[in-house]
Amino acid sequence: MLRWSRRIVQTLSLLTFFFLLVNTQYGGGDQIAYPVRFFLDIDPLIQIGTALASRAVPSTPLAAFALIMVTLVLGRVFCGWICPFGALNQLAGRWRRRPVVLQRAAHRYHAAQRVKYGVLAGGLAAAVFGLQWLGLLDPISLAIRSFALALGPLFELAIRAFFDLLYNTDSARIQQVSEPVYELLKRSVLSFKQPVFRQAGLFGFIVLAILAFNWIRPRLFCRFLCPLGALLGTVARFTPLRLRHTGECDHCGRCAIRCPGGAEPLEASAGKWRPAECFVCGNCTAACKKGLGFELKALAFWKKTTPVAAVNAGRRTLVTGALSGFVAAPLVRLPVVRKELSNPLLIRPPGALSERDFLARCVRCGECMKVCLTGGLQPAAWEAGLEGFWTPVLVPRVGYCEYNCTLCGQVCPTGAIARLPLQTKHTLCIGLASVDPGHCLPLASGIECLVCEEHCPTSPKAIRMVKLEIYMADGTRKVISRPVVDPKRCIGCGICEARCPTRVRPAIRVRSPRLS
Amino acid sequence: MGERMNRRDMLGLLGGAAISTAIGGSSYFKSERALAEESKTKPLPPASPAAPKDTRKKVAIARQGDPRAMVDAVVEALGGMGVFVAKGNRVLVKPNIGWDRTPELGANTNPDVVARVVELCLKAGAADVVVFDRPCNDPRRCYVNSGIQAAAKAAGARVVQFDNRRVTEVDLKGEVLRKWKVFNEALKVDVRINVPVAKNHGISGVTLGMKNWMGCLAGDRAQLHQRIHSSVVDLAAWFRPQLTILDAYRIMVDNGPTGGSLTDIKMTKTLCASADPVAVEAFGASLFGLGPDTGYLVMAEERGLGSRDWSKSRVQEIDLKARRS
Repeated sequence: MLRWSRRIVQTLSLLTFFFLLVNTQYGGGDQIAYPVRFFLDIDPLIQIGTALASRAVPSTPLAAFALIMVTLVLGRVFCGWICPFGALNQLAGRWRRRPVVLQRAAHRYHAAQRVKYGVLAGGLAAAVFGLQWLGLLDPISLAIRSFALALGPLFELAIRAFFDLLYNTDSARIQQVSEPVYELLKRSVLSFKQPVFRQAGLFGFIVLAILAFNWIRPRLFCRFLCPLGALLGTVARFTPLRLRHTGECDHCGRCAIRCPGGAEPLEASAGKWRPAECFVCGNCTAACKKGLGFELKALAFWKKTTPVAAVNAGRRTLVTGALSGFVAAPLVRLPVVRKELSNPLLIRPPGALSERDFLARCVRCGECMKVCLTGGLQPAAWEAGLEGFWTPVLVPRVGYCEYNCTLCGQVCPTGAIARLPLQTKHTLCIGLASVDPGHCLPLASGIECLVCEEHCPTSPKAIRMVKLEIYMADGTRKVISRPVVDPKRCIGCGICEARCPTRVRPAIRVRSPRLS
Repeated sequence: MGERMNRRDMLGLLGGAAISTAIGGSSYFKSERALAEESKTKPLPPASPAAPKDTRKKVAIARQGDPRAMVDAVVEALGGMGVFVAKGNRVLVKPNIGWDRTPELGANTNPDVVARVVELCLKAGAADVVVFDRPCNDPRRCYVNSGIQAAAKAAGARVVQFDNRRVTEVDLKGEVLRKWKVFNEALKVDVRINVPVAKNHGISGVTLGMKNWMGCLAGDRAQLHQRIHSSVVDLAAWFRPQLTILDAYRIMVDNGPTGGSLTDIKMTKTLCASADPVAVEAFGASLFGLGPDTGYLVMAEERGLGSRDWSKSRVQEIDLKARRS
């Protein structure tokens, strides 16, 4: 009964996750129509990590606090019932059908499960120093980032390629069936245009590797690595839930070969069940023939009741983790690896806080990159230094910042990109365009162009055409118009660079405003 | 038969069925590409034979009315939409939906003008009216914020986004433009009605009607700006609309073609229509205080696309304010 409820809720949660992810896009109005940040908003790890790193009140403290309270009472139900990445890991784990002999070993508690507590300690320690790397392994952030930047685009590419193949058969009979189906998909799951993200291969590889780990142990990530699971585990340790038989446990082991968390339900009557590892999934209670069931023991905190195993975090693991976190922050910021102050390509989205605060808040979830209309927000490689990798930067060559759009600030869960009213956004400078006279057609070759001025969205325009008399190669004189950028008006949106006809090396490029 | 088929066999069966259907049904109907080929070689039908000869040169100008009333007035002055659209025709109404701007900023064609033109075409018996453009900003935002998607759909048009797959390579036979990929929706129509908006433009001086045909081209349009006057005339010569209705309800006099501020706009509340696209352009230029000597206008007249001298043509001016009082 519990298992079936869990399966239904888990499926619905996973579907909701994908629904919200698909709808993290322009939907016909200036405001995003769906609560796309839901999973991030209830994630206490994101909230606590951001609060520590930025020394500010987190954006949705109540929702995250509510989840902590729920975990305190009901154990790690989030991991078992809600977490979409957990659901994916669970599905991936079912792929391998182990013989019964191996199942016990696979589902047994493993001492290395304490590593996740070390990861949590490390992440929190780093956050104290303003290094926000918790978002890298946080399951929600990881799932959104991987699907939005890698697996989603891959899926879309496959669909588009398939329907293009059908279209190019030039057969009206096939097209009569394939085109309406394609239209339906375009209106529901496909993005408006094919998303392309740098480092997509890396993101895809990482998430597929993590999912492949389930071959080694079911829900390996959840049991061994997940810092959110570790956080919830330390809270779940105090749950008043208990596993109890109505009959007498005969140690048949049916529960133990199905437990995905390694929580040792077999040892429940001996007082060694591990609530910190239990996902409350109901597999054990469904398998037991002797009436194993969860009971909520009210007042279990101070009434004498069946003991349960403590969190096995391990002093050494925690200290190692914490020390790594403490050391990582200054190490990553050593001048030799920190380049963001001098990298001209570091163009942050409009509404981004100052770089120090931005790096403290950005959890690298990828929401802003997913929602960006033009696909211009890309995960940073080295533009922001080692500390800032995978944070969003604007790459005008891929996509410019649409003048009237404020979607990125609406979806950012931590306020790294502030929600901006449109008037404010119109005057915010994120970069400065500069003309490259060696490549600009009028300046270099005496050919009329002006595409940059045509597209400049500000009024008055930040690019003006100024007449210039030049000498052509054959000695004649010609009057042409050349673009001149007004630095007081340029907001760095990048549409000029995006549209410049000298495609391979644009003759007008946007640089970080810090350089001017 | 009673046994259940195993998964492998079922997949094999389905796969085989799919493949054989695909191969077998491959050439039953003419493909869309073949249809597009046909329509591009078929010459556009001339105005209906019952129309008087003067229609070709007549220019109608309406002033000081609301957009829908002015559309009615100019079309009526030219003999009614039935002169241009016959029953059963497929019509392209080509507005300017280039920019992510709301109607009062004057960067796109007024949505009421587009809607009324669509309604008149449908009333004249058009079988299908299609509206599209290839915007310079995000296409969805442009269609929505210009108001044209909602207005045209409500009027009964089929509003489509530009689709890079559904294009056909066409020889534009121009001085500068040769082989270009053109959106199929612009090809498989019987009537083309150009509904541009009047704006100033850094490169061409003004952008009125002929430049609007750039919205039908796929590929890298940026390079057209390098020889903008010849390119625009090549486009006008190939697309040859039956009717051009210039929306000068609001004209953009500064920071065109994007605008972005109400101070860039002048409320001229004017509409001009004619079967002669060059005359409409010349009138439009006059609204900006320019004589009709912009490079591409001269070229267009020389190529026989029309006459720049709009004062000589049969001009009918309708002052809607005077009518009301």
